[in-house]
Amino acid sequence: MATNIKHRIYHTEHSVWANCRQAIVRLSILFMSFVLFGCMDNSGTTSPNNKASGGNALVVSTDTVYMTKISGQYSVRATLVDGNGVAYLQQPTLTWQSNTPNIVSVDSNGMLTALAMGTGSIEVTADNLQKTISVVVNSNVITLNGQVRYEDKEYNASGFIAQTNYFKAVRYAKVDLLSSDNSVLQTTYTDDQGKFSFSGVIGSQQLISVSAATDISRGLGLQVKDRSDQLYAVTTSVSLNNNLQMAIDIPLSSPASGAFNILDVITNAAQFSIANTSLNSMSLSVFWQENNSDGTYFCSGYDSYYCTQGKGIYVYNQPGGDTDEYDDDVLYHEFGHFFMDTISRDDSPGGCHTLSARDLDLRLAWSEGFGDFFPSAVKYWLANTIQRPDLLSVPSGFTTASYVDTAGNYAQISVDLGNLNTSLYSSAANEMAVAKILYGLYLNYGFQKMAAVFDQYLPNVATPVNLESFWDGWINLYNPDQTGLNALYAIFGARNVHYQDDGFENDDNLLSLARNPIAKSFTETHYLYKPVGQGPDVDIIPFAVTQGKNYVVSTLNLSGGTDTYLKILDSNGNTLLVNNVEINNDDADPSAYTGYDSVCGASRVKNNGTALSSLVNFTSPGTGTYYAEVRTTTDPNPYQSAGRYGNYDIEVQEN
Amino acid sequence: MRLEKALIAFLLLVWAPLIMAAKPAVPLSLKMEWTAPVALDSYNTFTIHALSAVSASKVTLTLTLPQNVDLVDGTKITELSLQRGVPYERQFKVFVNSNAQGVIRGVLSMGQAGSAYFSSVAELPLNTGNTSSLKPRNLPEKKYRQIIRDGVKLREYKLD
Repeated sequence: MATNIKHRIYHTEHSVWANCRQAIVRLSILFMSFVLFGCMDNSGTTSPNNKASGGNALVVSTDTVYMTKISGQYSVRATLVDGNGVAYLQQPTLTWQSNTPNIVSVDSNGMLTALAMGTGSIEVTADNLQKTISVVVNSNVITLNGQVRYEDKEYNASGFIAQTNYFKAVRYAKVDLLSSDNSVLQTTYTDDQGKFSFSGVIGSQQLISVSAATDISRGLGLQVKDRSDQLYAVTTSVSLNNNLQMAIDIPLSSPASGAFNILDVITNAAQFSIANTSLNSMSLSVFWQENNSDGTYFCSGYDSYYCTQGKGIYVYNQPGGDTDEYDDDVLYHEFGHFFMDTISRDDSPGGCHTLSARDLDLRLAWSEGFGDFFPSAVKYWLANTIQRPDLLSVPSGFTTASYVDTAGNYAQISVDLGNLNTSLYSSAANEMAVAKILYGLYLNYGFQKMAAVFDQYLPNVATPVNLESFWDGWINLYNPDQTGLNALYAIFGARNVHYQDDGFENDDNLLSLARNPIAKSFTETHYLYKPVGQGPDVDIIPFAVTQGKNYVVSTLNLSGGTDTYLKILDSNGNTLLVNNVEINNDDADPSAYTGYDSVCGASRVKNNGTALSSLVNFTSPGTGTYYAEVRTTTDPNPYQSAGRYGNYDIEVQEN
Repeated sequence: MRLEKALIAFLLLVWAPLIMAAKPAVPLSLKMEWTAPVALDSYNTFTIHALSAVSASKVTLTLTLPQNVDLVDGTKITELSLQRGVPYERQFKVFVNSNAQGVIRGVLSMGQAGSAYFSSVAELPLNTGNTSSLKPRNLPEKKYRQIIRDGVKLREYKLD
């Protein structure tokens, strides 16, 4: 850990210049790549006509022009760049001439006109540099084979790793062949390698457009749009090498690369979802653009401020600060919300939340816990199940159980679900504890078994959807034997979630009670839990009383959203009456159930261990043994944010 | 109790439908500000404001100073103990030479046992009027066109 922090600090000290250098280097590489690509012949060597002049180079917009008809025209551009591939502001006068005037002519602006079928060439010269451009005038049908890639950012626990040429395939994306007037001539989709092909009379005056939209025939109705509902796309002129191949690379310097990374991530997530559930297809729109400061979130429907394009994922971008278009884990997290909205039921009220809060609304902890778990599930599946680690954006060997959110180039949140602190991340009211439990189930039982609970059980439950109802669903669907239950207890119990009998059972009534009274000022821990259909759990705790003494009996240290109700029974097991008033209490301090969250800057529900606890204070009318009867709140309208199960401590004080 | 439940329900109604699910918030916050306008060839003081959502005894504040700015009061790496939700403030004094330029960068970080790491970064510009070296080299304009093709609204970037 210490090493990691030091590493981050080093990067921080150099970040401004590192960013500058990175931009310059990338720009240079872009230009140099262009030069090299344009000058490569079939053997992959540099063309001899690329004469250097003091490090300068003449860069042309295409190496070969394919023209499809006589009298057809096509414009070629040439630019003088320095040794770093940077264009000069003052460009020299260019001289154009045709080497084959019977085939093609060229004017002083680089405009070519086809004069006859055949193969020819033109030359452009400037600053003692010369460049030759092949010209093919051919009305025959050809097959263009292309590949589309985008430049990604690799990351680890510290944030982004400096990389160059980190390109990935644009998979299953829509590709249009356009005429010079932008009308669509043909449409196809890239394959798993980003490859596509068109057959026809194809020439350089035509264009290729690649959209950030996937092939619905594969079950992938995925789109990445800006906040005005415009689909991201890139376009480029048809540019073929001698093998009629065309490479389309979308560099980091193009904002579109961010859109295509989003598309890649949600493609992974959708493929995982379809492979592991009954879903046959998934359709989702993601809305992202630069300078979007509203945050990253999933909207299940329309609202006039945050969700202006309706249902979808909205992605944050603050240049120089927190941007999420390359934060794969954040994107997977939001896709997790979309997944649950699609296949299951999500009762979360939404809103601000932190990984470390152990007092969240149980519905929120469940929803966000699933979102925190989902990246690990998808990445594990990619790396291990389908053996495609190349689809991840992490170095070889880096854990798939990570969750990293960057700001600038550095991690602002970095958590490893595979190695998660136990005491800090526990309780059903803590989203990382929920995530860890789900991760444990995933590794032991697989996602399909979990998805059946999401799909078949949760949508129909009468109680709020949270970790408790998920547990109920698992028990309902799989009815595990004691060995199976013990395995579940281990996974849940490691996070201080105990949906099981405690060591005092069966203490539901006086007849079955077989224990000594609790000592004064002694605290003991109980679990409130009964399987669905077996009635509420009741805990009877005996304690000795002396007539005339004052007693304070309370539940405390509630964990996991417990909401207790406490009643005192007399020595006969009847409700204790003092001055004709029943001695009972539901919530000790309900005003504390909402509180200010300093991170969120707003009030929220807090399952904080005290607000929904119970406390009674009475003077005993008799001497002997009384009983504290504890159960889940009997309120007919209980807090939906609290739970039905959970842990609590009980204490009896005598004054 | 009913009143409180009604209040909670109201809060959730106002808050909840707008955003279904946001990403996790960072539990650390760092802000930095000068106590007075920066004077060259002079001592200047800035204040850091730190806040943590969890109590932590080992929160590291790392300051990175640009060239020609010297820390004269305090250390570049400081270990703080932050109480949950309690704002923490501390002042640092620096000497800013006349040719100084750039930003002072602060990183507040917390590494928890169990491979969890959180950080918050803040930058404090010197605002000396000499920041030319910080400007990135002019990059190509990120041009795109808005076009409707086959009924689909596109934000289309030209690659060549």
